[in-house]
Amino acid sequence: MDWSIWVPNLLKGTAETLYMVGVSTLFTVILGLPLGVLLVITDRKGLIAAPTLNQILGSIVNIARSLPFIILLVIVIPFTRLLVGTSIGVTAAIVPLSLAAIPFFARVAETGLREVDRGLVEASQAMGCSTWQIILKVLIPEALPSLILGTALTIISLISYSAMAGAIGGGGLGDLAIRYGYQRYETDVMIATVVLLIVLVQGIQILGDKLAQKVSRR
Amino acid sequence: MLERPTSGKVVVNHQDLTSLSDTELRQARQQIGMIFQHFNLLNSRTVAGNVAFPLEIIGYDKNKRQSRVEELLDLVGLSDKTNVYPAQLSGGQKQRVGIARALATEPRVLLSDEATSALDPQTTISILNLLKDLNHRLGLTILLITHEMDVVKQICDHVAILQESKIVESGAINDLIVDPDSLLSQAFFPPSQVFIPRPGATSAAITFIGDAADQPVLASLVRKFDVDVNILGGSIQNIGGRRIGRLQVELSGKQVNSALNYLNQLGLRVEVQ
Repeated sequence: MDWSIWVPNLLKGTAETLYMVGVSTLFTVILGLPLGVLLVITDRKGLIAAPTLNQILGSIVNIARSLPFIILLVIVIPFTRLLVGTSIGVTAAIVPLSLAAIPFFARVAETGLREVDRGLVEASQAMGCSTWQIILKVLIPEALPSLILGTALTIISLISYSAMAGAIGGGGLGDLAIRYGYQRYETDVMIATVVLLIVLVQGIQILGDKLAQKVSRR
Repeated sequence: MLERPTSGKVVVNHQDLTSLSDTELRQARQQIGMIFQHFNLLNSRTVAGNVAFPLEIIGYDKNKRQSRVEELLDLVGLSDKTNVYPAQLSGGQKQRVGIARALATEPRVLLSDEATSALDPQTTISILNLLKDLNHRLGLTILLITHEMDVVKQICDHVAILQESKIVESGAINDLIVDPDSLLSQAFFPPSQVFIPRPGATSAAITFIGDAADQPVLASLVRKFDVDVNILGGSIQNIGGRRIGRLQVELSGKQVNSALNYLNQLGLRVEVQ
């Protein structure tokens, strides 16, 4: 194997993966966290009890999560085209990646937010907090360690999803592994990409753990 | 008021909370301090951050916040724990933070919801002393919810007893305690066994309150009247900072009625059984 060709290829793949996963994570947190908050506060016993809305949101999340990623990738092609102008390439892959990760992260965030002691919410209400203040100053800061761990979990899922993005010309490390390592029997490439992916996943998990530990004051 | 009652009114500071809109209610809540059984402190904030929290909510001037927080922590005796997180504090210290936080917005009423029920007896005493001190120094009204009669005994002036969600008794402790039929006095002085008086003798329960509890009433009784006094039982308790005693006696002799009158005149409550 000629490394002088493969190193730039691997670097390009890594950069593509980081780009896809990075931007998707951003969208996922921006949209998934509010969805998670909504799932918690519209609960029957939540801050703004709205059981019907809660059930609708819950069902949408469940449906989105039932779809295999490769199917979702294809279903959302028209939507992707509408949003990005094209349905192929690295940027286009960000749309299905985010759509798959948002409901996932929303559930993870929901679990973390539910762990915040009800007494704390009650105390904040007794102090005259508005619902917004409770969300921003109590629920999210108190659940921050779980939210950080949840984000790490989501990033790792996104890395694994992104391997399938090759199906729509998304590129990235997973795509390299499938096209060269698997389809062209170039085992060296396969091993190299897998090692890079392991390092990536490992690094993100360690980073997430460290960060969560740092903000946890329990 | 966290939940709207199905009927009745909640009046605080001459304000009917039940008639307020949600926004008005939130503002009214800012004028009521509250402390809890499980403290309910924010784990993600330091002691100072927790005390500053209600100030943030009411939009208290940012520059003045710190000095107000220092003042409050000084008040509850936690000046050295400013930058510590709640997880590193003991239960009593956490409740002190809770009290400082509740007082931050200078409320006129402090609601204490079983605030000492999760604390050990000694810590309970120190927290109650702090509350009593705040009550005197700041002229702060404290509404204390508790199931511990010792707490009532230590710091309360007025009491309302709830049974099966109804107020079955309410009033000043001093008034209730001298009434042997009141639930409160029965709780503090559990009725001892019923004594059947000896033939010719009169059985009576005497309640001593205030000055009378400090005086040798029985000795002078025996000296003044031709009676024999037989003490069957009794106890003295410190309630609301006053000594209150209850004696179960048996009187016999020629002047029993005059003796009982004399006791009544002294302002003692005498119950002939």
